[in-house]
Amino acid sequence: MDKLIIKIADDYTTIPGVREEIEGDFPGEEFLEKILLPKFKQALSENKKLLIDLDGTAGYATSFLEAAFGGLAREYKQSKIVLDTLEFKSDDDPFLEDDITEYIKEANDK
Amino acid sequence: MKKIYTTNEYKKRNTKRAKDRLKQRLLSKEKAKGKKKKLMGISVVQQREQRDNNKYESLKAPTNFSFVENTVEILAYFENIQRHINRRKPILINLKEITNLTNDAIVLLLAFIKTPKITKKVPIRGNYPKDNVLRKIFQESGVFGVNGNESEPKNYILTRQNKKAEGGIANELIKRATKIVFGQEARCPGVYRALMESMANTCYHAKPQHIAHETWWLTVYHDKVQNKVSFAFIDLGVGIFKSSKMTGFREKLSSFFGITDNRDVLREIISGRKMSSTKIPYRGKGLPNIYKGLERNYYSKLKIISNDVKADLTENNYEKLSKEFDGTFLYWELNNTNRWTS
Repeated sequence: MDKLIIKIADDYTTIPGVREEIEGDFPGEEFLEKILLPKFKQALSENKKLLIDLDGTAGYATSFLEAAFGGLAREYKQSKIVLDTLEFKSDDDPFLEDDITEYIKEANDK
Repeated sequence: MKKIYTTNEYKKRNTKRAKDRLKQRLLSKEKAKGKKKKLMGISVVQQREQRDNNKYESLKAPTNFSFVENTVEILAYFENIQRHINRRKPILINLKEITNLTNDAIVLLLAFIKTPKITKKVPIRGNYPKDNVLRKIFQESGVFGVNGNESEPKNYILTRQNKKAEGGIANELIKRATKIVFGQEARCPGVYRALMESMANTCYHAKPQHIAHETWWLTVYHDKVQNKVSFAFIDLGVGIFKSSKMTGFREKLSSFFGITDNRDVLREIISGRKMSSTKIPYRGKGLPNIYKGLERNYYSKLKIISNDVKADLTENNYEKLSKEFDGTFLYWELNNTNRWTS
C-alpha cells in the first residue's frame, strides 16, 4: 500500500511549539489544522497509510503532540481509525511513538 | 563695657561655652582626620560609589547563595527584601561575603529585581561578591544590568526571558549547552521538551484570562570543572498548587483520596497515577513528562520548588518548606552521560 508522508521538520518547522497559538509559535493545534488533518483526510479517501516522520526537529513538547495527534483522534471521535492509518518514524527519540500512541488512545477518555 | 559682660555669671557661662566649642571643634577635626584616613587609597569613583551606597539599606545575602541548596534561607532573604520594598526603602543587595553561588539563585534574583510589580519602583542596587570567580559569574549574568551585548556568547552563563513558549530560544540554548558537554552542537529532544513544557506552564496564570501574562526566566550555566551544564527555570506566578489548572484536581484528590499535603499532590501529579481516576479534564501532562525525561536519561538531577514543596526527583525526596515560594522553579543538569542526538 502506498503511503503519504509528512516530515514535520520540512513541512512545518524544526522548532515545534506547544498547544495553542496564544502560548507561542508553531503550536500543535495549527499543525493539526493546516498539515495533519488535510493529509489524514487524503490518506483516508485514497485508502493509504500516513507516515509521520518526526525526525530532524529540536524536539517536541507533550502539549504539541497531544494537541496534534490527540486532537486528530478527538476530531474523529475514536482512536482506532487514527492508529490504523498513522505510522511513525522517530529515530531521534525512540520514546516518541509510544507517547503519541498513548495520547491518541487517551484523547477520547476525557 | 556693658555691666553684664563683667558679671561673674556671664564670665562663667562664656568660659563654659568656649570650652564646649573648642571641644567640638577638636572632635570634628579628629572625625575629619579619621574619615580622611579611612578613604586613603580609595579612588574618587569608589568614594562616590560608597557615598551613594550609604543611601541604600544594605541587606547582607546568605553566604551560601544557592536556592537549590539553601532554599529556606534564600526565601527568608527575599522576604526581607520584600518587606523593605513595601516600606519603600532603597535596597542594596549585599553579596560581598557570599562564598557559594549557583545559577538558580542568580535566576531567582534576576526574576525578582526585574519584575516591576515586585520592586514597585523602589531603587534596588547590588554589589558583587569579593570572591573573584563568583564575581565573574555574577558580572556575566547581567543581574545588575552590566552584561553588555545580549547576543554576545558568554562562557559561563546565559539568561533569557519571555512570556511565551519559544522553541527558538530552547533550541539555541541546547545547541550551546551540547557544544560544551558533548563537544559538538547536538539536539536533546528531552531537554527541548522540558524547556517547552516549563515555558508553557508559565502561560497559565492563576486566572485563565491572564494567559501569557507571566514572564519566565531561564539561566544556563556551564560548570567547566565538572563538565556539566545546569538549567534553572523560574516563573514568579502563583506556583503549581495555586494555579487555575489545579483547582478541580486538588478538590478531587482531597475528597476521593484524602490527599491534602502538597508533597503528596506533587507525587500524584508526577506519577500521573490518580489523574485518570479523578476524571478531571486535566490536560497538563507537562510535569509527568518532565519527570519522564529524567527516567529516560535525557538529563540528571531534576529538582522542583513550588509553593511549600521542594522535590529532589532524582532522590525521590519531597520536602515541606517552612517558607512559601510563590512561583515555580525547575532545575536539571546535562552531562556527558545523558542521551543526545547529532
